[in-house]
Amino acid sequence: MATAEPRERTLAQATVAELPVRLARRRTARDWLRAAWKLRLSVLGGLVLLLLVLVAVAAPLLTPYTPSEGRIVERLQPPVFLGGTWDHPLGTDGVGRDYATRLMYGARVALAVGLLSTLVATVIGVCLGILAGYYSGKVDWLISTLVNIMMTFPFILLALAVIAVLGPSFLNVVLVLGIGSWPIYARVVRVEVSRIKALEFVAAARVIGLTDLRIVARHIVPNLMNAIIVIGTVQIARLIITEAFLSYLGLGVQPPTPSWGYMLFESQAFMFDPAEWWLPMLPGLAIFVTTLAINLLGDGLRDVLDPYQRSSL
Amino acid sequence: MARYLAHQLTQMVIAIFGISVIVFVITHIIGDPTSVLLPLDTPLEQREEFRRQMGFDRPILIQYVDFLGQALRGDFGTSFRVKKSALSLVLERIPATLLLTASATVLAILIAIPMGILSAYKRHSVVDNIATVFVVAGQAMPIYWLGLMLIILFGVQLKWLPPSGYGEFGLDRLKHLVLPTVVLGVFLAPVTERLVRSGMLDALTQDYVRTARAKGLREWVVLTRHALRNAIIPVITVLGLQFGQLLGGAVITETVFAWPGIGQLTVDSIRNADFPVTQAAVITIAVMISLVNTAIDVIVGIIDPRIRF
Repeated sequence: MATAEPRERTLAQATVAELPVRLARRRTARDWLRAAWKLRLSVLGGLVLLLLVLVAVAAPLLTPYTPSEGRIVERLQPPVFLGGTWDHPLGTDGVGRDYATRLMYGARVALAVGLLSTLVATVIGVCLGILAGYYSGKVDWLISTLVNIMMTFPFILLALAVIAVLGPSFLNVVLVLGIGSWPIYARVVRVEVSRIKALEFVAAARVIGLTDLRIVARHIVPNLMNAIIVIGTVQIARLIITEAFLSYLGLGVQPPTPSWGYMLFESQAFMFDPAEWWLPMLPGLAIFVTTLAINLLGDGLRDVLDPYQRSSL
Repeated sequence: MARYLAHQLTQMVIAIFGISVIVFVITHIIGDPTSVLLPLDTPLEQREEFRRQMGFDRPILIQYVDFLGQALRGDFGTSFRVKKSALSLVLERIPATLLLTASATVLAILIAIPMGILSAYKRHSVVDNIATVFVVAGQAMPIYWLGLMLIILFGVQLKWLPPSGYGEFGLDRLKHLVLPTVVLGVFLAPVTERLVRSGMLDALTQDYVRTARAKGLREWVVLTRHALRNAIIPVITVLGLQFGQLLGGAVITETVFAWPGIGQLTVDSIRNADFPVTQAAVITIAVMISLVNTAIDVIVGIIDPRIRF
């Protein structure tokens, strides 16, 4: 036994001096490329999203038109792919506003509402999830019951009701979407926290006399970040879809601010006109491409950040 | 079993109670009913007088108890727009919603089960990749837009199907049902497909599948009779628990297609500030969801005693 050959040692028996050499090999460009190829769809999603963000931010520089002023004599011009001119590459709407311009400005509303309402939901959900997971008992029961109720009920209805009562505005939409969608974070964070708080480093932190707040902030929250980012990405896409539906019903961000959902609503007036099918198609396509890009990116993030919840793809 | 049943029923009561609180808060605390019921230029004294008559000046807790008491008796008041009781307006819409959700569920299952079996059986094959594209695209799809596109294609351009509405009982109804069913089916199918696929992937590695194969059974029989039977239980459970999400999808679908279900009624009542109808509809939806969830829990508890405690 004592004369076992060195090559029969397992990794655990390797001497400390040997290990860093194996672990610290620098990642070469080839490694990165290989990883990117494996996640090529997610990389593509990320690039499309980046492009959308750039277009949204730089919209005024990219177009000579404004989103709210139109020339009625130029109304309903077809897009170039239906024989229109390059003056209005995606045509003009029913009051002669440049459709491409409105779509670009619409990206601002979609991305801003998606991002901000996701932030609101994350803050509420993570705080309540930590409370429930860390303290358990009655607090846990109360929060979990609320989470269960909110997750089984179609939240779109409550969102509609609250906005109808408060009046539609950018801020109200962000708040309602945020307050309506926190339970998913609370549910995941609660489970994670009750798992983490039983680990040795938390016990150690308690032994040296750290306060609960410090344990949570310095030792627990950092371990939640990956899960939060993964849920957050998917949620942004879901909330963009929901915001557009609110706008489609006239209960979202109000005109003259152009939003994709409201453009969809306006285009409905031309739906039964066989020549104008592209009017409702384009805003919806913009929503679809955006949410698709975000979801693809989210899949990749999950594979990289959260190997335990890896999808079965 | 009795204890399990009692626990499930308690959960159900708590859930409906919770929703009633949320609805009450939205309509009575965040929103001021007088602002909806009276014309905008009503003088302040008349407004106060009206509040006293309606009892809106009483302590909020008493108002809630009153609201709950009437709700329990099925009395949500009269619709502000139609002179009918709010609850009867809601109840007459239920069949349309059940018809739509049932046909969409059937469609989703018809898509999801073969697709899920194939993509689990031939993992990473062309079929599996197509299924993945379908799932990813389906989950990113704004279904109201899909609805509009289908209306334009099949209702306006090709004129194969009626673009919206409920139609007359019979063949006409079925024609009206096709497009909404496709839209709501696309909403439901991706989740279902992933559930079937992961259930099948799990089942195919189990000993009983190996045993079935070792007995020389045909692959078809192994897949359907042995693997699928076990994979399908969690699918039913999750679908049952997702009934609320399905109704959320139905709200959107019904609105786009002017399908006279409970979802469309709720959206209408919200847009017209018809609070009694909104309250009755939301509570009715909560009761429907709770009933389905509880039924599924109990059924699963009977099938699989390990879940009971």
